[in-house]
Amino acid sequence: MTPVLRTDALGKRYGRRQALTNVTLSIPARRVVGLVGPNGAGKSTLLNLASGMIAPTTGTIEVLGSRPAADATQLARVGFVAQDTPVYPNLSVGDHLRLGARLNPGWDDRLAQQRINQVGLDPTQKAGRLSGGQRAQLALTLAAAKRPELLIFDEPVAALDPLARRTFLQSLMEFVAELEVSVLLSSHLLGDLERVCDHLIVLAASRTQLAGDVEELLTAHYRLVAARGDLDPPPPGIEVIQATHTARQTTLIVRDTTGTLRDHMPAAEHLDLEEMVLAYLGRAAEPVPTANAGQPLEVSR
Amino acid sequence: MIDFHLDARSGLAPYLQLVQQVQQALRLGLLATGDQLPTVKEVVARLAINPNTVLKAYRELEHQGLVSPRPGVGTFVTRTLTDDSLAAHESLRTELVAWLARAQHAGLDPDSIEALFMTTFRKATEVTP
Amino acid sequence: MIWLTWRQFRGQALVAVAVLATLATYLVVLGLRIRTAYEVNVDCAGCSVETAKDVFENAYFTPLLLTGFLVVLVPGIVGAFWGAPLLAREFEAGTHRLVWNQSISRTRWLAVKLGLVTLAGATLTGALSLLLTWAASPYDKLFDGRFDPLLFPARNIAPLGYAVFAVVAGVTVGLLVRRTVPAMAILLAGFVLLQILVPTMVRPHLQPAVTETVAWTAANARGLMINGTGEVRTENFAVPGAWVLTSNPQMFDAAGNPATQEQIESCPHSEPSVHKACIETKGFHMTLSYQPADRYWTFQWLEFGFYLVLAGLLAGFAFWRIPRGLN
Repeated sequence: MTPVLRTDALGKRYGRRQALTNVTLSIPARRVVGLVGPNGAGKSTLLNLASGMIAPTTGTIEVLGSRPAADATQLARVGFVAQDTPVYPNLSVGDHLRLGARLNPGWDDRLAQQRINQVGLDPTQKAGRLSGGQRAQLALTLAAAKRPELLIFDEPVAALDPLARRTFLQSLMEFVAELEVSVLLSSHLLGDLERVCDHLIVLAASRTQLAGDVEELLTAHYRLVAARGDLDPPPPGIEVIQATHTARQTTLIVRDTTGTLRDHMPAAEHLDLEEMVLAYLGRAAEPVPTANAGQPLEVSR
Repeated sequence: MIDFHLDARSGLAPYLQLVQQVQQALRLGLLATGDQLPTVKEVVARLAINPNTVLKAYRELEHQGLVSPRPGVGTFVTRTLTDDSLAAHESLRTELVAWLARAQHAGLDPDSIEALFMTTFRKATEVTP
Repeated sequence: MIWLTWRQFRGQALVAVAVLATLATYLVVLGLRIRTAYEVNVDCAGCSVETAKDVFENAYFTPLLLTGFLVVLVPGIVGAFWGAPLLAREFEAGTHRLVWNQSISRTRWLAVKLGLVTLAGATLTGALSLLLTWAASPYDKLFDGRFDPLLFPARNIAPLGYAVFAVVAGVTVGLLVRRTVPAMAILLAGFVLLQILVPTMVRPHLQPAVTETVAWTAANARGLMINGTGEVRTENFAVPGAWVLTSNPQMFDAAGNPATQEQIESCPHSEPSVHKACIETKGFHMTLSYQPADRYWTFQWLEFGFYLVLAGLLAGFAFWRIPRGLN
């Protein structure tokens, strides 16, 4: 099956600012992919590249096997909802649905009408008067009713209150259950995405820090706690992501690269998603140790 | 029909939480043979979780022989867990209450009691899964 | 896409229709009045053309001048209020991110938007130009000054070129600036600048001018002037229907020498007409560059074509730029 997103050494530069550096990814189909990272990490840049809103400076990007926004056919296969869910303020909700129906050959009007009714949007209401949550629902309906193979959302819930956040994710997951669509969505808060995604990409400082199926990632990461010095040197076959020391104790967050860690360290504990992501974000924020200065951060897969 | 909930702080994978909630409902007699589980879409719409999580939980339950899917209709309970053990619940609970009283008497605060119980429980279940 | 463009544009279109209806009514009334005045003052036995000109100038110079300005200004307004915001407003509100993700290529999106609005702008301007050309035709015939810098751009097909150019330029500026108000300001400034530069620096050279020696005649001269060094020049010498490019040419006498102050002053100048008649007998002549009357339509087409080429270049740039995304 074609990966929904494949990038090779993808880079994007705005003037002198490098927004994305050497990103190599391959995301399998039928996943709900969470793109997580702090503000300014390059999440929007990656999503805008994937939707073809902008063109890469270096490297290549393929979405569903084709160049993003290459033609009308490719556009029909991807539904993109940009940050702040833009809508035409002077057009009504009904006008937006008509817009969708006229500009998308695969438009599913039954689905669109049903969704609008279900979330209680008044078709005669001007889109400019909708609340943030309603606007997000309208944008979601518009993107889903064109029946794409991949839905992309840039920070869909960032501007929403907790209730609207929950409602939006419920709607989105209903679409996923009903339409068998792949989803790629970003957030600067892991908590927003934790429940919904089964594949994770952690982006920080314009580079990918971590990428993979959530379950595999959780299986491969451990916390090792031991008396200071006992883990020096660390056991073989692991990559140390984060090390913290107190006077007596050493805590390591590690990635088990060979799958044998439990054999010689039965006390190793698994992490939850948040701890794991924070360890990677912490590592990305640290200055690179001089010994590794010339070596790029590992792009994990 | 059973109503699922998720506890983000439990540390347990979401699909396992769903599995446990079905098992618990079966044990407590809340679900009986022939009852239908909520559809994937219903669970997803309620909990805002990934449909694959629900599918995985249902597959696990199916694997344990507790439920079976009827294509196009839904997933139905095929076996309950309200076996003879239900009778034993009451006496076990009494013993546990007595143990808790002893622990309190020994000066353990609630957190220490929980820590002691959980570590012992984990160790015991790890040895005999 | 046509539906969406219409849906976004219909408010402006309604305003345009209202403005057009008002101006059209005014121009039709004006045209009918001018025709009546022409019958009364010109097409009559024993009427003096000079008197008729005076009557016409008093009554219709100002209305025709102002409506003429309007016909030149309408393309600028259309460019600023329809062209410039067409893309800039989408970028400003971020709605391009919505519409670019429907199943329609950006090139087609731009083509439909640009096409429809250009068509609307050209239709509005064309209708006004046509009406004014019709309304003013008796007046223009009487004064025979079709190349006049105030008349030429406000008649026939030249305004169509301005309209097409202004809309396309507005759209392109909006694409580059991505903000509505600055795009409108830049478009208007650019449009006005071209309306000043083209008549002075481009239009006279669209065809090589005819240069020839012409006899001084009283009928075609306004007056004479003698400058400090004693050179005699004629003021605003007219060649019938032509566009004279040489201003105040120096006069030479029949022998080919520069005319002198004495030669002029030898004529009695108590009465202007007697003075002019006397000077005419002396056989003065001068060298003139001009665009002959029969080139009027060539110049209209060239002006139209010049703006159309500019519009084409800008549109080409926009269509090259738009699929490349906003980087």
